[in-house]
Amino acid sequence: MWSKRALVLSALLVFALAALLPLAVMFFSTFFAADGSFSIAPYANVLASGRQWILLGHSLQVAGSATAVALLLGLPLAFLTARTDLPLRGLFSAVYAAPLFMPTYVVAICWRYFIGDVFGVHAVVEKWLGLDKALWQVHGYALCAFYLGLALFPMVTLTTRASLLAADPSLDEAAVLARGGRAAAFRVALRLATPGIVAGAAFVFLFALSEFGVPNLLMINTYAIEVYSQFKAFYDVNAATASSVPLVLLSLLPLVAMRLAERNRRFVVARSERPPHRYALRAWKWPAFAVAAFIVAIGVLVPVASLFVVAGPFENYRKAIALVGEDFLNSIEFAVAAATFATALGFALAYGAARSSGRMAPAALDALSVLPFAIPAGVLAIGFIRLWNRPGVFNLVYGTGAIVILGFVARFLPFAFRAGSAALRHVPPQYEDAARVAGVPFARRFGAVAARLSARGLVAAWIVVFVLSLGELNLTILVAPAGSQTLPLRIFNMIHFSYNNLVAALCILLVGLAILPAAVVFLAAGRKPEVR
Amino acid sequence: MASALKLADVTKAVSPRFSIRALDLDLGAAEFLVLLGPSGCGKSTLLRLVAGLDAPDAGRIEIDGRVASDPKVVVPPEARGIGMVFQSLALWPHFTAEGQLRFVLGGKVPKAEIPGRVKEALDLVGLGRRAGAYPNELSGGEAQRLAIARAIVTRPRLLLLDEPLSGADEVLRERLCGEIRALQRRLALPAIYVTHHREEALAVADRVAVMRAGRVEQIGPPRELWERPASEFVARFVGLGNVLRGRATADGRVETALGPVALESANGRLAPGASVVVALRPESIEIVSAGGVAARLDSAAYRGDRCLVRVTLGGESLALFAPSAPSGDVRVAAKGPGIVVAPENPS
Amino acid sequence: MQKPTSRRALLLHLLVGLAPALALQACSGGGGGNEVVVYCSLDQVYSEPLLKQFEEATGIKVRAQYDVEAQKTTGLVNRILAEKSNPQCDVYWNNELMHTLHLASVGALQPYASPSAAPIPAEFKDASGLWTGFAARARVLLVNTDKVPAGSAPKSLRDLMKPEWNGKFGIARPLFGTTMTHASALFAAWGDEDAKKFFRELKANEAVVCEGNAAVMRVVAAGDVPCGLTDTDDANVAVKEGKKVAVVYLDQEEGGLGTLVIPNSIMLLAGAPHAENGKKLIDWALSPKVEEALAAGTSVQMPLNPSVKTPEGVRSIANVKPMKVDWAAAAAKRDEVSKFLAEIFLAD
Repeated sequence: MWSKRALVLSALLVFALAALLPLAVMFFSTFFAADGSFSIAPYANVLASGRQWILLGHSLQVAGSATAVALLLGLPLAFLTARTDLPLRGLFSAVYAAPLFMPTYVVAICWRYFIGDVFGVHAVVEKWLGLDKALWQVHGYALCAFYLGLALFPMVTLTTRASLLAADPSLDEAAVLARGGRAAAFRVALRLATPGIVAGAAFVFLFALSEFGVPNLLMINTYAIEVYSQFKAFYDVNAATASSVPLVLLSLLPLVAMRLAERNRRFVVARSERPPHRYALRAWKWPAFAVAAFIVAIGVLVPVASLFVVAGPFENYRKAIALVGEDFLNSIEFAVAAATFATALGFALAYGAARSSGRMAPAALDALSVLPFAIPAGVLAIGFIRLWNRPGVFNLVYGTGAIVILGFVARFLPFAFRAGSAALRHVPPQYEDAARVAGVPFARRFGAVAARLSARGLVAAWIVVFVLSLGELNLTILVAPAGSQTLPLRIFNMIHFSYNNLVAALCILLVGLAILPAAVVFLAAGRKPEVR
Repeated sequence: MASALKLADVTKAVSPRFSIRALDLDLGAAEFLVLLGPSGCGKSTLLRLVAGLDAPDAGRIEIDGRVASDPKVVVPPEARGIGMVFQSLALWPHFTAEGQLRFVLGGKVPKAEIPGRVKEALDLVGLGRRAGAYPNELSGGEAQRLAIARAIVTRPRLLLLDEPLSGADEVLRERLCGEIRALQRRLALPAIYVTHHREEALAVADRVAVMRAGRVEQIGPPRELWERPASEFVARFVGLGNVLRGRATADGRVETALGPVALESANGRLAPGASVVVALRPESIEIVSAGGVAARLDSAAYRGDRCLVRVTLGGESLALFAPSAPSGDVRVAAKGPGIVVAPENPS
Repeated sequence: MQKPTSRRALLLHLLVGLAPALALQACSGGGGGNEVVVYCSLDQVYSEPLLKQFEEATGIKVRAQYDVEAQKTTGLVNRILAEKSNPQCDVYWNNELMHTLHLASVGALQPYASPSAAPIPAEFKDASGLWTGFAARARVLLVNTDKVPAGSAPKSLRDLMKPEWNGKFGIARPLFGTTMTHASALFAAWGDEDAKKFFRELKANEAVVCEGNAAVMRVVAAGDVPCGLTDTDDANVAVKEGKKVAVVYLDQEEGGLGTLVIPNSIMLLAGAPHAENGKKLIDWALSPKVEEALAAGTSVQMPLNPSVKTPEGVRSIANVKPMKVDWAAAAAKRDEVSKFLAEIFLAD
């Protein structure tokens, strides 16, 4: 029979085996030279030069500014669609996540080349700013923040909406009664959504910190590039592993921020059967609509429109599909499996952390779950190979797609863990206690109460892991069984060879895949009679 | 004397089955009005209309002589000068006790005055030493007091309380209810208190309005409801749980299944033979060893000092008190007078 | 309204994804059977069609793993090294030589003297048969003919240090790929002092550093930068698109350095699970047909087999003065060169 202890222990075991063991293998070997003697030589060179510190600073700058842009775009959209009477909010809710389904690099390409160069927007801006060099040369950092923020802001919207929609309306009503809509919205509604907001911001920060493609595209020098160049140049896996430590430490920053933000104030609040309070925008209705429409426009419409134009005739879509064919199915299969397992594992771990009485264990778990993501994909991959590439039974994993799925789960677990934790913040333990006292066994309590009430957060987690897996490249190349290729490989190949029209067609299809089910459901739901 | 609250012709759909229709209500200057009724009768809806959290479909609401809502104008909740205690208390988890009060006072009161007002309100409810505590650190009773403090700190023109003592135990309820009433008197604040607990209602109210399916069945001082219930529903709801039908006799009594029942006070001359509905307090029926009428024993519940016994007589369920639980069927008779219930209003 | 949406969307996604996935898993068996595993660093666009041809011709199933050089991935070399204790791969088709040399030096390869390798000149293959070079790219200067009048283009690498080309030429970031290989070769050819000076001056002369060779090609084709160092295959993309560009082979004069030629290299891995099929693949890859196809395709790779004809406009190894490279020396210098270049180009 399942019990909470059994669930959490087995989740921890799976986590340790899948995610931590490969890392442990890698870090362990950094302390031993080729001849087997103990040495800390690989660490001697880490941050040894001032130049590397500067690069680290750049990484921080990119991550921080991207997070700021993502918050600037994602927060208002989340609030306006989830908690106000914004016109067309249903439509916006259905489409805002589209950018997530394109790899960040592709979004950057879209803005840099399609919109920037092909449509001449860069030329216009350069003229306006009076620049004699290219925009990307002068304002590389700003553009990097802009591109990353545009590609990633739906993460913030996703998790923030989950928190906003879990609110008890009487809290808002009490605030409206006391101070009116504006104060209530900013000082109560938004503040109470802090778990979701911080989770989303943490995602963006983490991702942008280890992001390589976009900074490289804009010729911005970051620490990630340093690590990659070492890997590529030296074959010295130990050096690469050692030099990734600073990035790993920086990745713990969002954790610290989260702990600070939630000191003392529990956001656990009793839920209500009534839907969350919607704020009436009144005089602000059309300005707010303009803001939301603008965000959706630059986030979704403009990139998609430019893709449409560059994609060209319908024939290119067929060509793109023909080219991509099986790779696409492979990618979907891996992504769906990874998303499902990661969400389940992440939620089980989050549950263990949220329901534990101590404070050290949850914090430690938080930190540990981030490691497989903070480490460069190449290092993690080598760890996997060392662990799993053995004759015999291991072939069931290493020689098949299972290793890819395992890799994705290990790598993207922190997102599922964070989203699960944020969701559980809104689930008071009393609900499960009530079920327990009533005699409901743990498995059903966990599923029908804890998981069910965290549903929105879990869906957010699933979507994030799904899109991240869909776009993952570096890990896949190193561990995927030869013969099963994935989508990103194709896309990046096509980009490299300027098959722009095919890339564009493919991205339209990816975005369509994201939006279509949601749009269909939205349209179908619209016809249902209002339920009071 | 201008009424603190005036509802004229207010209409609002409550559920698919019924609505508040053309409701009139007048609240006196320092009156404590209790809205009493079963769950789902519309009393919370009415409160929300007064607070401005919902808008009526028709009608007019005036607070302290000023229009709060009418077909042309709707004043937003924050401008109505109302203090409200919610059923779930709705304490913001991210504000401390004094933080809640400070937030509520912001923009209404000069900054310099705020600390003083906050302290005053907290002291008034006995939470002076818990100013820095977060809601999740307060006990049930403290949380309830904080909610009350938050409602009164702005010196509102009207106090609304929506079943504020839901989570409290009996002892706490009684104490807090009394404290609320005392506070209200002290501040001379008109208040509407919503509950479905009749003892509470009868104990503290200046007037009680019994609501059912969106209508006010009867409104009046507790004594009036008790002595002259306007309908069977009101009678049952105020505790006159035993309702019998019978005929008036020549000697001013009513012949019922229980036998002849005397009447309390002059309820007007009843024509002999007229059909009458009589309500009896449980205290007015007793178990007799001889005489009386046979009744079937349904249940007996120990109440500490006495037993609440339920019997069935002629299809009607009656409740009475006995010193100890009887065994087997009993014989019952009317001990005290009954009260005439006004004929049922056609719904 | 939101709850049903997210739940149903999830369901829809699961159905969309799982159904074909399950079907696929059911169909794809494990390994075994007549197959060969090849790791291929040559761009998928060029190599995949050729590998499919091999599959059709021989009936041997090819399971290929590709790389994306443009994305600066850690590369399949690291995978081969990591898998050394339990090799999964039979043949490695590399698109350059330096990594190949490293693999040879750590014993990851096994010798195989393919009959198809015989026509290939000795300087492009390993003496003990560990690897064979074929179908080469060259490091060239792509010049925008609108911006650079005929005859005034740089003729030598060293010209790029001159003031008249200040800020007027592009290079890819020399931390990876062929640009790195080029740098290592220069270090081996010129010696440390000279080479270091060259790169410092390039940086000082405001070289427009781009994210990769393709990016260099794009900026030159667009006219943003008058000329740039890139590879023949990237340069050819611009030519094929009809842009106003010309390809210049530097240092071709008598006594000059020569143009760096970077061949593909193919090798049989030690402990290959399907060694026999691997040998067949190598034989086929080194055949004239393949080199011909690679020359005729957009990658315009130069055949090293002298008997293979190149199409019109595509230079063959015969009419290019190749740079003499001590590949072993260049490979040995990689670490040092990489560190040095990082100091200069991965700074500020």
